[in-house]
Amino acid sequence: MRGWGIIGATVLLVGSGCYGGAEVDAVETDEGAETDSGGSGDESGDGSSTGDAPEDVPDGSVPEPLVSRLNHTQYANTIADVLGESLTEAERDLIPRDIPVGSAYSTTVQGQFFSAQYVLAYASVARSVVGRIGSEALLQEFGDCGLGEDGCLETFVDALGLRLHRRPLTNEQQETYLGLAAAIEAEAEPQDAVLGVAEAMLQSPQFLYRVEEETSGEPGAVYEVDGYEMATRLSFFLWQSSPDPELLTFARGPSGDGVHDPDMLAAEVDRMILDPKFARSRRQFWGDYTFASVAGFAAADPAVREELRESLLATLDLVSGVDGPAQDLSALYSGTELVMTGAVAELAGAQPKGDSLEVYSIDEAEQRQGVLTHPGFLAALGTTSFVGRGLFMSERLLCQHILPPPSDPGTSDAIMDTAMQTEELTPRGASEFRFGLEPVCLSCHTQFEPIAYAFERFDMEGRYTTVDEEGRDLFSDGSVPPYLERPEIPFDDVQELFDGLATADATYRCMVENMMEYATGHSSRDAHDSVSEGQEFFEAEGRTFDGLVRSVAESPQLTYKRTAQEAE
Amino acid sequence: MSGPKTLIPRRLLLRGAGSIAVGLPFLEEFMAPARASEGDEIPCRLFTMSFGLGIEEAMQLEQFGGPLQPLEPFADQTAFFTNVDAGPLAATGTPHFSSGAATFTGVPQRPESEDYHAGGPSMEQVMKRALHPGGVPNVSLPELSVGLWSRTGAVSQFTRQWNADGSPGMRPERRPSAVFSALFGAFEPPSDEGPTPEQLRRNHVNRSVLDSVLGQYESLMGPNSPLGSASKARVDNHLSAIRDVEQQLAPPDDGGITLDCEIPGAREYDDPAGYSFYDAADGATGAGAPLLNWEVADAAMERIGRLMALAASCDALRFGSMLCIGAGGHVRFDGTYEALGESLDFAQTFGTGTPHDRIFHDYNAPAIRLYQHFSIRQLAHMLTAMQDITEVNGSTLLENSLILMGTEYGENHNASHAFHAVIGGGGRFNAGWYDQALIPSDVYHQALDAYGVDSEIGERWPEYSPTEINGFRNV
Repeated sequence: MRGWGIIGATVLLVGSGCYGGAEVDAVETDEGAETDSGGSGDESGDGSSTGDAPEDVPDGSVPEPLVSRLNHTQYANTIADVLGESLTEAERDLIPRDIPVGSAYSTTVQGQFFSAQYVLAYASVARSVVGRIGSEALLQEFGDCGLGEDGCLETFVDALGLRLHRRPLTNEQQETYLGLAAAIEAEAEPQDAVLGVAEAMLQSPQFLYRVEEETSGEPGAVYEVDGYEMATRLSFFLWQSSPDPELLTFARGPSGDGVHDPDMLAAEVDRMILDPKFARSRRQFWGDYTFASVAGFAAADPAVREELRESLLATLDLVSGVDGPAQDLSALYSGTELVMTGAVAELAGAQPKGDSLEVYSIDEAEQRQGVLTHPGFLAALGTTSFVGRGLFMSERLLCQHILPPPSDPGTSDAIMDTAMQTEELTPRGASEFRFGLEPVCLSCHTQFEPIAYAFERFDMEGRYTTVDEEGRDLFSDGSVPPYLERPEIPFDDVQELFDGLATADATYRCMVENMMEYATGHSSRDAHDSVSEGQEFFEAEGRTFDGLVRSVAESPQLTYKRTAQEAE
Repeated sequence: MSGPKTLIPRRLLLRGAGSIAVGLPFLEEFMAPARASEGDEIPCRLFTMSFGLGIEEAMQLEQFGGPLQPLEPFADQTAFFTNVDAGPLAATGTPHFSSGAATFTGVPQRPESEDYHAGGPSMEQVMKRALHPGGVPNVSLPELSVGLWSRTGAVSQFTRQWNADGSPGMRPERRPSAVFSALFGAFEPPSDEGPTPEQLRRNHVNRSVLDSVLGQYESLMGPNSPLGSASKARVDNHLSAIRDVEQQLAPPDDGGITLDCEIPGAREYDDPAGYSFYDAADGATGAGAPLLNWEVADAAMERIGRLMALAASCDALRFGSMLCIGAGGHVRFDGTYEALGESLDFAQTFGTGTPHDRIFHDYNAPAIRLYQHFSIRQLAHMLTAMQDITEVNGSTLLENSLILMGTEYGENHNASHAFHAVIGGGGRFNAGWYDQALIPSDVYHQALDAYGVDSEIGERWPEYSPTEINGFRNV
């Protein structure tokens, strides 16, 4: 691996009682030795063992295991990539959508829903897709043979099993599938056996879930993942899909025992980033990051809603280097170009160039600086409230994780009293009122609302205005208080705020934390040391989007796992 | 409802979000419900119903002179609980989240997973698993969650179905057309010729595939599983769901089913005009929340309610949940609503805000009375449809079913006095008004106990000590 050292330190963060995750009192980091990642891996090749336990993986960087189901996107992509058959619209509609909740990502494991509707949908889609492909094509693709040829079925089962289980079948699994084929063939046709095996694989837990070895070793101990687990983690992170044959070769390792060569990891990541499938993950990340992938944009003109979404995501493509040079991700705060349709450009105060997506210089728009002043970003949030905007921006842009208020009757009453008294005020007026309420609102709201002060002059659709609909003056000055190593950032307007954020190390540290959460499906709030290391990597890579991805792809979050504490 | 008893082979027409209908061959053999015919035992059914934002105690005590008026037609089979304190169940956070997650689970939310999880399964899941440990027999769906909601700030705002491990089960389906497809999309005109050789062959394949898949999930739950306990709980949800729909996945060879109710036409249950914005994945708060004419919402919920009742009468569905608006109330409405001798111009009252902000935060009591009347009216549509159906034992579908109704708080954003009701119950309960001091868990625990089902609340929340509800049980 390149660049990834291990920090054996404790990070202590300043806490106010508002923040989730570790709360601490000082900042202390020191760098340690680079990890020895030469695990023993899966000697049997069946995934039943894990690598050596390292001594110096950063504390908190590896979460408790929780099996992840393929989300809607991953399921559809995997079928298309492995079987070469895209789901129809009806099939896509049949599988319940995975919609991230709150500030979660679409990959967040804890938020995954499950009901019998999924079971019925998986069964019917499996039947439908496999039937569409047909037994002959399946055998040809995965066995290079024809029905009735000696050993053809065995070859087919092994080859398809490798792709859909994402590791070689165990002997028991191979026998299960061959037994299934025999049982079907006893009362049906040989081609039914082929289709039935494929159907069963598409409903198997090894396909629908990312099953990893969670019980080997000491409970709570950290181990290196094996080659196939590594390949699966990488592919669902970088492609939102299953490993391709080349990645499975990497997983098998030079000795063919499922122990991958860690020195090949960076090259494999580079290859995957260059693959067109990487675009899926880039879009998904930015859609989740900005909320654009799920936002209803209900406040906006219905005709403009999709244009807001597409304009914002196209701008983030531009920043990420799609069809051009990759920009420093400081562009979120200091970028000089926005991609917009004519209707969105009007919202941004620019002279429309036409109906299609066009690149606009920031100078053509009004009071804009950076991607995060794109009308689409503000419209996705659908609120002008400093509470709503402040909570999301604090969480996403500053990585300040705010705990919910206590639920005691006194606090509830205070919240209601405050809401009643601020209903007719401007967002800023309401916020200042809350700040005056010691101690009920003060301690937390003064932490997460200040960033929203810079946006009061942007309405629900992201339009700039100095007065509200009642003619009251709106303002843009304020000050974001210090947090951890980030200093206070006073500002007169959003440009000054963004100048401050663009030069703050914490801003880029937060980008890494977000990408880690997206990549793993688990919170990285407690992974302080690991995030710091990732940030160093990210900076060294030029703070590009691809560099951000690389900083996480080779991090302990991806390369290590923890044995379940309550393993049965 | 009673109609001609017919043998109807099922074929599930899978509908897209719009008007696309696609028949998938595998689903032709989907097994249909074994209707409780004359002489059969009426199946146990449990549906939860919730509305958001609570009703303060004074309005509860108005009885049918206040927001609870839509429940008056069901008074002779409803136990109303007006002194239920949800406070002990609320963890941190607003009642929308914490008390919302406790509604129908009866246990506090686990603090480490407040954004996503409840502290345990919802009661309809508890009953389902207790009565049908090997899977629910012969239903279209083992459960269905429906309702009107927006906003996904936290799972517990809009989810009332929770799996055995407390993970979220299903987002409520908001569109009548999708509810129809889920419940009745399987039906086609009857065939007198019985299963074809092709169907029989297909059934054999399905059974073989199912056996193989089941074996794999069971193996993953076994002693040699690579999974830890948390992951096993996730996989167990899947395994249980497979067993629940085993009959549909691999039907027996008779190729048909008996139904004694008529399957309605799909067009009767199209989404009302103006309801399409609910395709949006998420709604924001305040002025960014979706705007809906209340009569459009009413029409949608009425159709959904009729569908749920019809499905229950056909034994296509035994367990479910219905939600109106959801905790937080982030749907904007317009139109003039008239009830209780008063009228309320929703658009004028809410302005650019939502009911949550404009009438609850601002505490506009007259508006709250009518708004919650509107909310409960949405749930009452299903109750009305259930009351209109007489079953083979001579009782109505509503009388033969168990309905648990609740909300997340009572006083304005305060977890105390969270209105609850128990409706139906097959004669197990005494209707009336109960002002005994209780917590929601007491209502759930005793309601299930009357069916011989342990609520398991005590198992998941050792601090819980059940309070006997005086006079509630009909013994």
